Amino acid sequence: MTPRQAAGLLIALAVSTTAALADVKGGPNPPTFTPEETALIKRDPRLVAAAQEHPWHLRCALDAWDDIRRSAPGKREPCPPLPPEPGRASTEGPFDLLQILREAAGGGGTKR
Amino acid sequence: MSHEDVFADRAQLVADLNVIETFRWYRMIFTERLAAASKSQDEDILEMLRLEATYQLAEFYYGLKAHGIESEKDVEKLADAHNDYIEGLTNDAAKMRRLGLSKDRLLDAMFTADTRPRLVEIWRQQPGAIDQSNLARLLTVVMSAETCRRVVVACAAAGFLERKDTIYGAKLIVSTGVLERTLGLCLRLSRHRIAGVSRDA
Repeated sequence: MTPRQAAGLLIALAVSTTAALADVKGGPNPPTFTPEETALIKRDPRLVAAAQEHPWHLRCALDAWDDIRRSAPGKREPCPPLPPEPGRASTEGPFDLLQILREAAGGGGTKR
Repeated sequence: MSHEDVFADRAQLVADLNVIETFRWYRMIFTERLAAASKSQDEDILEMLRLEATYQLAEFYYGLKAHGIESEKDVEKLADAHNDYIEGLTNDAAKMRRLGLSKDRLLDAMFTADTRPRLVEIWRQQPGAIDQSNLARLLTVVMSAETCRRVVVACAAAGFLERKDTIYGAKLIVSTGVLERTLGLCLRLSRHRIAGVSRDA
């Protein structure tokens, strides 16, 4: 086991106070994090959520941050694309947007 | 009307079923026609075009066109109506929750002393043009800013929007008319179908 892989297990233990490792998405090959990164992630609930929802994107962001700190921009692979968000769940929003357009057009009918 | 009544009259029921089938048909043909009209047949682009968010964007542009929102004054009224709505929404915690929006996000979506003049000035220079961040503001209630960006990028690749860089670093978005024409045609066909005067397109 490499130090990084060991650290990857550590993050699971660290994050498990907030959520179980089973919640971490990303398939059978989750990314690994150093102990320093694990400590950083644990300090911020938003990073904990990112580690659960989009672990590879968090890995990508931490790598970019590391490059910037070392003033050594690397030629890394682009981050994987996020899955598309299907849109807001409520049906009220689309109806409200049509009402806003109607109001902007002067209320009742259309200007045409 | 009680729920028993809804199923009592066979003729009414057949008409009701026609409506629900037409609702579904409308969305189906809209997506099909949009995909067929796309200049890009890249599967990633087509996947974005099939999203509900793309339909919402098309509906927004259709609304602008159909309501005749064309002048500077019209877009000022649109910004004011949008701000009034957002302000009202910030006072309705239950609705905010239903829409999946936080107060901070809503406040970001309001047109301010900086962003409102930019919206109007860009529109004045080129009617119909909206910078991408302001477009995301107008669509806050139906999609996130990131989803808006991704849908806009896909629609630009498909030839439905022009996405131009400005000297201020903003992206200027202008519809080429395909989204609103496609939606309008599908809507018209659906209305005829419901009215029983369906015609071949």
